[in-house]
Amino acid sequence: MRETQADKALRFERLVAPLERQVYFTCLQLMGNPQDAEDCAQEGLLKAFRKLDSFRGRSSFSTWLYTLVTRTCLDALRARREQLSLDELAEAGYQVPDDKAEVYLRLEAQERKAALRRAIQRLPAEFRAVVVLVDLQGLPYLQSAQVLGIPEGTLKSRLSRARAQLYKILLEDGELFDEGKRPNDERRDRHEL
Amino acid sequence: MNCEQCRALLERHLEGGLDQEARASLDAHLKACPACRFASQVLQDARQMDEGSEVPASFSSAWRERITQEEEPPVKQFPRITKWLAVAAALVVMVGGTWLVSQNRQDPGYNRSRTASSPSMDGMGYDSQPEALANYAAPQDMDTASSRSGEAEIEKQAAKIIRTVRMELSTRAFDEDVNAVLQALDQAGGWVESASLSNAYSNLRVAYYTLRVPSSQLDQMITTLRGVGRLVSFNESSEDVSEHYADTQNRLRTQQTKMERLQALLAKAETVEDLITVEYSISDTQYEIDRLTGLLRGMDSKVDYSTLRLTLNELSPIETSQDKQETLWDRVQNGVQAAFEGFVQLLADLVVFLSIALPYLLVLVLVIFIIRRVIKRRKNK
Repeated sequence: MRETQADKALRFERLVAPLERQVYFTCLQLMGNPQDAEDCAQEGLLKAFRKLDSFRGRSSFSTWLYTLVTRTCLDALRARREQLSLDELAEAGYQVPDDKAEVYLRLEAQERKAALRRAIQRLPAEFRAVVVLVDLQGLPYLQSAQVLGIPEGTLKSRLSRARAQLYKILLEDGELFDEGKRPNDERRDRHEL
Repeated sequence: MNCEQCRALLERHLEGGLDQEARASLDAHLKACPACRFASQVLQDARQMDEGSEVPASFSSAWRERITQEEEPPVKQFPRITKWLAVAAALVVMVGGTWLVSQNRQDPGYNRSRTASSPSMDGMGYDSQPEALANYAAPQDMDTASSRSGEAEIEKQAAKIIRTVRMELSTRAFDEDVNAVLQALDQAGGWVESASLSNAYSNLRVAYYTLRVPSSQLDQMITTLRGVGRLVSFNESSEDVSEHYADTQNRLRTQQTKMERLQALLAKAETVEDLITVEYSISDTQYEIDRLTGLLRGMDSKVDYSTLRLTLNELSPIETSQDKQETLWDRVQNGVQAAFEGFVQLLADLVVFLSIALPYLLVLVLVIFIIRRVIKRRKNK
């Protein structure tokens, strides 16, 4: 029996609907703003729809979908040509200073989340991807590795370095740690960041 | 537990995958270590990042609507390479079939009318005999033959000669000359014992004839044939079978006499035994009579109808070695004409092949069509 486009659309919708949330928020965390997130998510889903017939079930549908969407986002990030330098210290293994850690821990949940969001945006695309998939989306190591097309070992090492970088960024966040600054200074600092 | 260990277990701890002991140990470390507490908190925050947030309705509806607008992709059944392979295969088949047809064309069944004639071939160029003919001493043979036939007439009763002639001719007007030969034969009152045609070399045919010509007409026939094409070789042999013939005749007479006596005996036979014995003898004798009669008849036939083995070679239309008078323009003209004829013939062969192959091609097309349909169906499932 021949499947019409309408049938195909229906089938696709049924497959994607439970994953819609994950798709959107992955894109949001990778791209940093809702507009870009919607664009990338839309594009990723459209690609998936067009390629639906070629999905052979070698991986799970969610892995396949994640792969398409993540790749779309990473391509878009690359097009942005963000200049984010990799701090050398992070590579060696960043040591979280106790005092700053305690300050961070005293923050409200909302503040912390906001800081985290900002920090993730400052990660280079490579690191951002692993953090978003593993730490934010909660994908198992194996699945994340499949999505990114890298070996699991590479994923783990990249993840530990990404986290180190993330911690560093968080604890050097001027907004959080510059207490007692004048409003002008704060603005200046924020600009420098 | 140190920080390294702690960090390694943090994720599982958040997921609740640690046993009681490990959990207790971890909790103890966390209490004492702000750095690890910080890491744990960050991971926790990450997991809960989007809690309470909703997927924008605009996004939700947008992708659903977008996919319904998507048109069906163009159906691409076979990858390109298969298409090219099919084209190549079809070409090979067509060329091969045409070639086969053109090969088969060279048998007597086909009529190929000759329209080309080389302008320099006035009088067919056969007047000048090649020097090689001198070796065959044909004129001498002719004289001997004619004198012999004269002798044969005088000594008809005494001499039984079986003449066998072998001639090879070359011709540029193959079909015309074949007709000429057969006409001459008919006029002479002869008949064709066997004929075969072969083209060992592309388009050039060779005809092999075994003709039976009345002995009285043989010399005339030879003369006629020499005018038909260009004589390449000539050979005559004679066999005098007079003695053998006479012997056979004598034996026959003996047997016939024996038969008369046996018949007389048969009439007088009284006992059954005698009858049977005589009958056996009679049948044996009859057999001999028949055999000898047959022999004599055979010899008579060969004597009365000489055997002429004729080989007729087809020459290619353009033989530049012969046409010294031919100008360059003539050669060009000939070349163009021959090429054109060849091409036309090729087209004709192609048409023939296609008409032969048409039913098979139709079946093949049908099969391919069905296969494509099946694949299409599978793809859409």
